This record gives sequence, structure tokens and C-alpha cells, in this order.
Amino acid sequence: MSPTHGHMTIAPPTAAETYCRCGYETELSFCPRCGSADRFTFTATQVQERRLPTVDVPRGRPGVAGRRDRSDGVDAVMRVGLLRASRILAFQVLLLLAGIPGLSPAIAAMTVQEAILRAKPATVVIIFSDRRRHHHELRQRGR
Amino acid sequence: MSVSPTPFVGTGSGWFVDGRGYVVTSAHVVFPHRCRSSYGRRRSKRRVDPALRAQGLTRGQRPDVEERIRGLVTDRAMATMTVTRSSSLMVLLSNGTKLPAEVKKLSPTLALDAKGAPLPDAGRDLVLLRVKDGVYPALGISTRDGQIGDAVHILGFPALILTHELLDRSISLEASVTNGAISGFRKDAIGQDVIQTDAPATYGNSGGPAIGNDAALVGVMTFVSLSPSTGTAVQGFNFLVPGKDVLKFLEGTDVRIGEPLQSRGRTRSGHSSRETIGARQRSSPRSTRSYRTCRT
Repeated sequence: MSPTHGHMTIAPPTAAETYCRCGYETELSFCPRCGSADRFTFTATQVQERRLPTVDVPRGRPGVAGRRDRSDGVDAVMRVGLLRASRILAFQVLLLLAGIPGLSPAIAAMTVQEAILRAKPATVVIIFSDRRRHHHELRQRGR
Repeated sequence: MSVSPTPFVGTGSGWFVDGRGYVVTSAHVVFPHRCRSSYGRRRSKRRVDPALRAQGLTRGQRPDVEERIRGLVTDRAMATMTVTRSSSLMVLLSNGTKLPAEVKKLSPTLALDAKGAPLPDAGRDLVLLRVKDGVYPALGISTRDGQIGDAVHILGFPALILTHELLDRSISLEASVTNGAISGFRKDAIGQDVIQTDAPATYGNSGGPAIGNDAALVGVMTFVSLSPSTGTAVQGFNFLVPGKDVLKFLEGTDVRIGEPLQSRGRTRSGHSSRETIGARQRSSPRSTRSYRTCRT
């Protein structure tokens, strides 16, 4: 019997069994599920007789939605994870929207009047004055 | 014989491209001497009529011929003349402060010779000026893709407003704004990109910024269109030096512009008859009537 994860209830084994860190019971040197070589031995003894929920269907990797009853704790973990993911996604979408000209509040807020008022002080008058003194060569007219 | 004509005083518009004291304006605002002098023009008037009569024409019949004759006569008059000049260049800020300026970089005006061909040193009609160090309000340059129909606001100091007899003199400190849109992408006589806009502009707007709705520069006002028959400005067909060309002009200078945006130039061929919006030129500072344009 494989133990479950997280806060879920674990059915206490009645004998020493070797588990992978992912919780998969195996005697192999590498876990066929996660490939890890880390092992631990669970030697707890059964101290209490009680009815515990069991896992009847393989769930795949931890943290991925499995075919479990919705009342199971996996869904609760998943809901927290999805909520966190959706928050990150929503923030990224907001950043994306802010980067699009016209949708950014700072850009969209500038009206034509504001644009003109902003540009007016930067406009200046250029005054060019030129004093000249012309010296003409007088040529005599004649045939 | 020596003659001292009344001082030539011209005004145009400019804008701070760098808050440390760098100003951009049109080259023909700062170097109007590429135009023929008003003295030369006055002197040439007396010789234009006989030349026209010799061709069987009277004034106003053929403005193009008249202008060509005037150019030839003026060039001939200038050839026998030695000119001693003393020029000054000032920048009048919106708070009333008047600062002397020096030229840091120049791309000459697109000028035409008497036969109407572009001069060999014709350029982008931009100049970079430097005033004393300070903290000035500066405009960013948009290199966003301009599209036909995009809003354009031209800021500047038109001579008509500066010298309006019914307005208070303090009006000269606040830029006038005209609104329009990008109406086309053209090329000038030497193949440079220009943006056509229907935002009104007139003499004195030269060098002024044309901004978009995001307060970033779209282009610099450079020339308007003239009626071929009367020679007066036709509104709704004005032209800007694109912002991306201003950025190119400022390469290699100390100017630090704000964040440059992406650019995509788009031009189409063809151009109409045009005239640079000249700095307002007047024979005396008090005169409100006589101003001329700088032919380019």
C-alpha cells in the first residue's frame, strides 16, 4: 500500500517498508516514478485501529490533479496552487496592458490640451538681426 | 559709395530639443543671407520693369518670368557690392528672457538658383543652436510611424500675431497653436522626405515644432505652398521636416534627447510649388506691413 501525501492520512504500515522520497514504495535502486535514489524506511507499528481513507487510484505526480474525490485534500492543495498561479497571471496581464500604448493609464490620461500645454513652454522665438553696410563700386557709364 | 540700409530683423520659431540649452530651428531663420538682401531687391525693382517690357510683358502677367528676371538682376547688383555685416542671434524664452545663441550645427536651406535649380549645398534646413547652460523645458522627438490622418499641432510665433496691432505685446511670449493632420508624405526637390500637413502656418512659424497628441515632435515646420498666380501663401498645404530626419541631423552632437521611439519612414514622390516660410523680415522693428519670404 502506498502512502499518501501532505496532510492526508497515512495508513500506518505493519512492517518495515522502503519508500522513495516521492512516497512510492519500491525496492529498486531508482524509483520508477520519479527516478530518485533517495530512500527511507518506514517502520511504524500499527497503534490504533481505525478506518482511514485509502488511495485506490494512482495519482501521478504530486501536485497534479488526480482522479480523486473532491473532498480529498489534494484538491485543496491544488486550489491554493491555482489561486497563486492565477494571481501571478493576472499581474502579468496587467503589466502587459500597461505596456500597450493607449491602454496605459499614464498615456491615455494625456489629452490634446495637456500635450499642447506641455509643448508650449519649450517653443521659443528666434530673433535674427543683421546690420549691413554696403560698399558699391561706382562705374562710369559711357560708350 | 557706402550705404547703410535699415537693419534686417527676422523672427522665426524654435524649440528646445535638450533641456540643457540646445535649440533646433530652421536654417533659413538663422541664415537669411542666403536669400537676396532686401536692399538688393529694392535696387533690382527699378530694373525689372524694363526687362519685362523688353519681353513684351507687364507686371503680374508671368510671375515665374518676373521672378527669374528679378533674381538675375539682383545677382548682378550684388556682384558689384561689398557687404560688411554685424549679425546677432537671440532666443526669446516663454518667460521673457532673451538669451544670446550660437550655432552648433547647420544643415543648409534647400535654396534654388536663378534658374530654379537646387544649389549644390542644399540640405535639410535645420540648425542647432546653443544657449547658456540651464534647465529648460524640452520636447521629445517621436519616431513613431506617422500615418495619414494623424493629428498634428503646429506651435510657433507667426509674425501676424507678433505684430498684430490690436493685441497686447505680451502675446509674443506664448506660442500660437494651429491644428491639422498629416495629409501626405512627399519628397522635396533633392529627394528628401517631407511631411505634408493641412495645419495652417505662416511667416514666423518656420522652425517651430509640430507635435502629435503625445506632445512629442512629429516634424519641424519648413515651407508652405504659394499660389502660382498671386504668390500668396495657400493654406492647407504646408510641409514639415520629419522627426526622424531631425534625429539624423542631431547625430554626432552632444544633444541628449528623450527616449527615442521606433521609426519608419514613408515617402511618396511628387511635390508642389513651394516657398520656405521665411523668418519675418522687416525693414524696421516697428514696421508691421513689410515682411518678405526667404526664397528656397
